[in-house]
Amino acid sequence: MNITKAILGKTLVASPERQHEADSDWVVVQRVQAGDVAAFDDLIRKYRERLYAIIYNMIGNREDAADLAQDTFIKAFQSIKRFSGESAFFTWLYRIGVNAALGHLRKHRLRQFFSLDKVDEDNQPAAEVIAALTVDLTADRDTYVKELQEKLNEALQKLSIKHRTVVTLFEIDGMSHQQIAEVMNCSVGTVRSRLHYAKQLLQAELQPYIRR
Amino acid sequence: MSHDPKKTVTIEDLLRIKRAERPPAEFWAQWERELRAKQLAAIVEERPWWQIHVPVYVRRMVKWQLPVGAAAVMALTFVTLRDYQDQSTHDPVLVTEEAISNVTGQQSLASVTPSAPTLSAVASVSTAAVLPQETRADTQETTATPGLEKTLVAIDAPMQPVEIPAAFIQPSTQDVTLRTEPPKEPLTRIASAKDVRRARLLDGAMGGRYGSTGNAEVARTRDRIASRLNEDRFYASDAGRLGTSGDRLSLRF
Repeated sequence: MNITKAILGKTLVASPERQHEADSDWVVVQRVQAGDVAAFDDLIRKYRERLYAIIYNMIGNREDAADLAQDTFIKAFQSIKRFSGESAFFTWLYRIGVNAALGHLRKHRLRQFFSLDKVDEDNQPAAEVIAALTVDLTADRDTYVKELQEKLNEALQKLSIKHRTVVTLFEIDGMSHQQIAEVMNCSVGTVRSRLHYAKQLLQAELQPYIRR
Repeated sequence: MSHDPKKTVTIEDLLRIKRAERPPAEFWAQWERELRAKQLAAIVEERPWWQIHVPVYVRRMVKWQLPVGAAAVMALTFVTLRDYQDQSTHDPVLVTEEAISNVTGQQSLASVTPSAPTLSAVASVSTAAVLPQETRADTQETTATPGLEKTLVAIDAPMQPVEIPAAFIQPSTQDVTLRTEPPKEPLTRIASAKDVRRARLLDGAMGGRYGSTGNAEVARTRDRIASRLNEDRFYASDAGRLGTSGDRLSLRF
């Protein structure tokens, strides 16, 4: 029971770091609302990479993701006077970004081009996974990683837009179920069910790469 | 790098590789430059009027445009149909139709009333003799317009020998025949705008005088007005009054 509570607590409620982040963001937002336009640059620098990563993993194209991330910050800046602090700033910003990505995907659903960024091999967890997968590999490692990247992207693109968004926000950005529910404007139960279903599909698609 | 080669790889582990996909460091410098340019463009560029004046909740309805549009079309159709039914059960068309039929009835009556005795060339024709009895009975059955009914009532009355100008009598037959109209479809009974206008102008021009007297002078005046009220002729004559030749513009009165 305690374990369940702990897991639920981790996924449902925002972490203390995120709460602290939200409080400090609110101070900056108030400065921007008061007329300190330069303060918005702090928010851009703080969130640009995470926002870009979310959009990039949703649409699978780095050029479009860069454009959409820029558009998201411009929209947020134009509407910042309407932001009343009821939710965290990053939730609000992510909502704008996710909506922009969803609009882009709907608009270009018949014509999609993928262009992927390189895997950062300095990232410890990713490097460990790649090492585990390539331990018995005789062929070129880089080619294998590139192929794995493409398979991962393919599997993600096979998910519906909503399932892909949930997976991206939970697995890639590390948001809680509650925060995802706020961003996607749905219930926590819906988030959990989408996540479960999406993982099942991904597991089926990526079976050759899974080692038990 | 210290990793266990025997480690299991789960779907979450694979997604960590996705998390590690990042653009190079120089990408952000370029990205920031582009963002600045876009920000400046956004400041300079005027925002569309609907983003300023239309409230947010109205703009959110855009995603419901199909059901809202369908509902609007349905509502418009319903209102239009209801208005049309009200109009058809109500009066304006029938009133104008009645006015027209009155006028045409008077016209037909006028065609059998005695003309002025001063006319030189007249032919005496007894319409009672020319019009067979059964034809009159058929006419009574088939007639639908009240104006024509009035005409027929007048015809049914004891007929007097009348004098009709020779110009009105066809030389080949020397007969006067009364046209009877077959029953019409309801939609064809609706008077055209031209007829309505003609009837209204006629009523205004005659001022009720014509209905009360059987003066032939008045009948002629009415005929003249009626013939001149033909719109096509009216506009054609208007166009003919203007003329250009060389550097001159001529205007005929």
